[in-house]
Amino acid sequence: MSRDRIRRIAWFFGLAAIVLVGWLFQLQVSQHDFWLERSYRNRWAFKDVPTRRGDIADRHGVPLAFDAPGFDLELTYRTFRRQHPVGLALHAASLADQGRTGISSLRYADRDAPANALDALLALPVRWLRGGNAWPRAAELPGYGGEDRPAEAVSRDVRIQAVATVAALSGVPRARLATAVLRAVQDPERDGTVLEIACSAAESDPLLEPLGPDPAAARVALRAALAERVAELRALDDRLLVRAGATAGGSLFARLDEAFVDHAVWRQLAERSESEAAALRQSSFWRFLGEQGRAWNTWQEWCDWPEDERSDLIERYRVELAARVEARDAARSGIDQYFDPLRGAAGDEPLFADLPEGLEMPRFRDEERPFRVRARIPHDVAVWVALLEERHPGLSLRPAVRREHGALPGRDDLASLAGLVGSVGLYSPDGRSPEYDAVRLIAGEDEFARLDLDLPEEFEGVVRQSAANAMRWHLAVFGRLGRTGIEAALDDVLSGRPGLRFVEQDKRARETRMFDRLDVSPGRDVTSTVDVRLQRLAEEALGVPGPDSERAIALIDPENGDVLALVGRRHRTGRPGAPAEEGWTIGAMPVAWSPYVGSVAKPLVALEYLRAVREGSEDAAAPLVDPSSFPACEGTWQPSEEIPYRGRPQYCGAAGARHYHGADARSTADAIAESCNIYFFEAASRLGPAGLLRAYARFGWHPGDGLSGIADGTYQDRLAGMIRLYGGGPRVEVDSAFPVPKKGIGYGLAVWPVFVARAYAGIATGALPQLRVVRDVSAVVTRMPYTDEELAVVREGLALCVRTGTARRQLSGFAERLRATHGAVLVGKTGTAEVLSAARDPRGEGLNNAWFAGYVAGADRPRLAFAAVVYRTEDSGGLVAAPLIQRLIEGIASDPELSGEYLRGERP
Amino acid sequence: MTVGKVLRHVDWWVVLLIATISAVGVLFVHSATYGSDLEALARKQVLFLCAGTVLGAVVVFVPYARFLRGAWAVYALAVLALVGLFFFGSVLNGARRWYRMPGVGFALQPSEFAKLAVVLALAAWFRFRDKAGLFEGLLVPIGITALPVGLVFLQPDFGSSLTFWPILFAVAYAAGVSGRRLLAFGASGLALLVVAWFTVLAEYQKTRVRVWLEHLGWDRAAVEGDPAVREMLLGDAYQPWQALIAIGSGGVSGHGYLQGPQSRFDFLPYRYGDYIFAVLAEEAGLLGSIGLIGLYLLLVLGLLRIAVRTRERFGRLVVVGVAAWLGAQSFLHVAVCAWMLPATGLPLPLVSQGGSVTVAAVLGLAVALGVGARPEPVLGGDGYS
Repeated sequence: MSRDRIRRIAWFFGLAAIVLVGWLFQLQVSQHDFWLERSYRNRWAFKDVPTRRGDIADRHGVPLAFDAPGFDLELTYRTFRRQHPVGLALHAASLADQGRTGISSLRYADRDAPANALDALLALPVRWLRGGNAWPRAAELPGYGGEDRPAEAVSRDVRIQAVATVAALSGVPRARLATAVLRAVQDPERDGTVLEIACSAAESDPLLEPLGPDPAAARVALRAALAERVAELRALDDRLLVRAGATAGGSLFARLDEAFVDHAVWRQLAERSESEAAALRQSSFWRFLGEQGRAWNTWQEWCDWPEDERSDLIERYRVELAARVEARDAARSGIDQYFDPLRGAAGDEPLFADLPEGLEMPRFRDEERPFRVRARIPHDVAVWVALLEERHPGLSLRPAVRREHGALPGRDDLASLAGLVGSVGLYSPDGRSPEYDAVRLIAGEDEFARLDLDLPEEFEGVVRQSAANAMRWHLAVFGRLGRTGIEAALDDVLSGRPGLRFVEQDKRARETRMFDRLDVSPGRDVTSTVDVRLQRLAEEALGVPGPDSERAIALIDPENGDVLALVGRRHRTGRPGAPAEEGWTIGAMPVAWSPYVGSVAKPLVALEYLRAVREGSEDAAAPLVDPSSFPACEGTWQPSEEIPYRGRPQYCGAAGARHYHGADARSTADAIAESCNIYFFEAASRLGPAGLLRAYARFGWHPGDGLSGIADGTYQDRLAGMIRLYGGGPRVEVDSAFPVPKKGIGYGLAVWPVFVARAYAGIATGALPQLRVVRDVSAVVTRMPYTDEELAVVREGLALCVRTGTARRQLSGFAERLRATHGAVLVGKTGTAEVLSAARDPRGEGLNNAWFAGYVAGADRPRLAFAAVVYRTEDSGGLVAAPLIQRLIEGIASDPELSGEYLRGERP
Repeated sequence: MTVGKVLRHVDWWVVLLIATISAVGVLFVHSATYGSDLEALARKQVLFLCAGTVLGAVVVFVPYARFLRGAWAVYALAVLALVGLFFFGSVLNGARRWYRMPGVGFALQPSEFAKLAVVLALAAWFRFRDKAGLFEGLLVPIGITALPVGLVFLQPDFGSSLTFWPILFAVAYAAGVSGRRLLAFGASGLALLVVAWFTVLAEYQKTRVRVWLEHLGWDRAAVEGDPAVREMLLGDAYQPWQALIAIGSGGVSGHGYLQGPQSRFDFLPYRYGDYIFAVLAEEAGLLGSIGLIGLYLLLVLGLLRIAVRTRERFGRLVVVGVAAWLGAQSFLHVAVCAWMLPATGLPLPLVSQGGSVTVAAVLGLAVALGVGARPEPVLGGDGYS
């Protein structure tokens, strides 16, 4: 019987062994691939390697924008309050205060708070740490109300934190001290304070010896140690404030206090906020914020926004969503989906509708995550922090790259040309996303597909997906995109491509081998056409405009279209009735509401008329007679019978201020010099609308629609190297209500200064260059259809304008001196366009847009083409715009290096 | 009985199995600690085996009748040692399981020796109680077992406390206690577990059970996509999950000796002790796993064969108890490593690194071999069957 039973036991073990083997078969054979993949996932890692963004330099290599390595100072509050003696002391004393009285006024910003907190902790009677009646308000404290025995929980936490404070300050082992204090707490016979208990334990425990047996001496030593830590923190704070130029607010101690307050509610809110934030991130509202450039990465950021701003965004989103859903096109597929900001908008609507409560979450800080105390701290401060990092747990440095603007002049024009970079974030305003970039960089390229993986083939897809995820993460966290200016236009060139190392590593992230890698492609440097020295001079020449005054100077190389300097002062965006604080902006190319070019357009009309006379024109409105047969200017223009114009008489000069050129204005050159309107009324009327359009299109002031390719290569809707200009390209309102004669003298033509300068470059060289702001773009020049004789007539007119014409009062003397001292010839044309319509610009009634445009010719060839404008001024172009150019060229002439390069023609 | 006679009657097949398992143990302790700061553990394990062998050799030659006479004394000593832990034991990882031996770098774990003491005590109790009733056949033996179990549980060492019960079941069953009664006791034990859940089980122990129950419902999507599961994999489920990865990734033939990535790259915690089987399964694959389980099964069968051949009741029950102790602990270790049971710390006898577990197992086996070397009755009285 007994033997049978033993045999049954043997059978039992046999069956157990079979069950075990069956289970192992399931794991090691049936599910082997799954576990093998898990094993690889444990140890393979993709280490992203950040790339370097290319520099932007001026035409002579002076840095305009470049990457500078730096550090951000971060605070992990959880670590600070658990390990830093200052954080420990404040939290413990605050908890004790609240447990007894329900309130605590301790704050980091209070200079005496840490010392007071320490004193209070050291003097804590050990009997209080037994719980019971010592903490009458314990149940009311946040986070303790749910405890079974709140008073005991408060006792425990106060004890732990008090012990940790003393241990951190004295350097004794925390566990030893904790045991000693705990024994005292558990012994109902023991009495005394925490400090006395600790000192008493130090008598028998050699590891606690540093505390010493004398409580008074120990208190002094602990206070001194705490004061030292506080002093170090304050020194850091002072250095941050001084370097940041701040006078108040935003200090380290203020941030600590924010976290201190948040800590009380953190537990309750953390869980809820995470789920809310996760849901919100899935919603189209979040994408909408991204498109507005307001994406947030943490719940905290969203909570930190002002309440009214959040409400406004929510309302705008609702309106936008309705419009988008209506306008959405058929669903796209493939890579295009990443460009489609409308994707999923309708589908997300119900989700968003469920979220309003979440959007009203009170602000709080997630104390487990590091948050930035100060971005890009100075190098010497970073070194200081690094040296003291161990003494200040919770404070840490994070390597960061900052985009610095180098030798920029004092104002912001060049900065806006160079442009700005911004974080990629998860969604960027222009619809690009790191997802798109990751797909482009990984799946779209063959390099990673050629990995010689020492892995089972079936994992290749997993590896690639993981690689894409790693790149996506890298781009989302570290990626930068050019947002404006050259940074945006040449982002692909500048940004480069991050690298990845595919490695095997152990649990502690120590690499053991590298499977493969994707090398970094650093961004390429870009050379701008701008000359910082000229830019600085142009900014100085421009001066500081008064309220509502806008002015600008554009300076280009007439031979290749290089933009050498571009400055503008613009006070408002111009929205009528806008409050003063709204719409203040900077910009290199100001655009007024009625920026008509006025008479600076006349040389263009003259050239086209001369060409039309020479070649004939089928669509001329009237016979193209020789200009010498035009009627003399007697102040009033009455068209002849052959001209199809039946409007009111036109005047040379504004009504009430007519001027009479008489016989002096009969030649084209004279007409240009004197800016005789009568001459150009006649020429424009004979050319007709089509002829005028041709004239402007040849100089890139009109896209040339319907002109059979006449504007090919001339029209630019942006500067090469710029992502786009304010408001698109030049605006020529040829279809405006202005009568043809008026269009002939520059009304209805809204052209930015840089394009005016370009037109005068065309007159100076006989070829129209494409404008460019980076030298990496090839120079393109389009030959103009005018003969040398025709160009000479107009150039003569421009020269006369300076010598004897409308600019003579301001520039004749200066031009003579320039010729004498530098051999350079200054020619140009004034323009004074009335701001005609109060409806168009209520601020401009009775005012003018005053222009001066032309070029400087060196001994051999034209060196500089320029345009200057003062919008909405009571004065004429000759009076206010020409002096801007004079000041600029005086500056060039007074600098031997610049004058050698731009006036005498000695190229470096 | 002369030395030569004892040697002649010793079951050398069992000795060979013990030696083979021990060698495997040393090899895989070396593998589990290879390249780490703990490489010396393999050498220590050899020392423990040598010490165990010396002690075991002595035990084999001691007439086992003396164990009968000393069974209760040994039991009392073991209980005293377990009680003494609460006063003199060292605390490690929050548990008082060891007596630190100053100067020798060795800590004694009384719970391992208590298993042998329980085997002897139960065998002594059942020696004259064939087909005993409820009180003598079940309640008293439960009391004998529950006392050390309770003390071990309070250390706390839930895993070790579990291995006492198979000893009770096997010895009682072999002693003729009604199978139905034992089944009823087993069922009521399960009910007691439910009570224990609400009374004595610590939160971390409940968490291990909860995680284990939850993991039965995980699929690939949950593992990769469910944030709660992912968090668990990095927290409470980390250890058993990493063991599963090690075992599963071993496949049929394993990664090769010293080549197991989970072990080499430190992903598998406690791998030289409570998870040594996972190391073996990762490096030797299913074939190695079957091999080791087979060796243990053969060892258990070998011991039970000795028990069958032994005519004297005390000796027979001792051998059954030792077989149940080592067999159950080995198979439970494998089941825990393969997460068939909730995670708990349970070393694999003769294989896991550890002085107490090794020496206690060798001593237990030596007692069994000593019984086997004396097939003829050496005791008088009702013990003959």
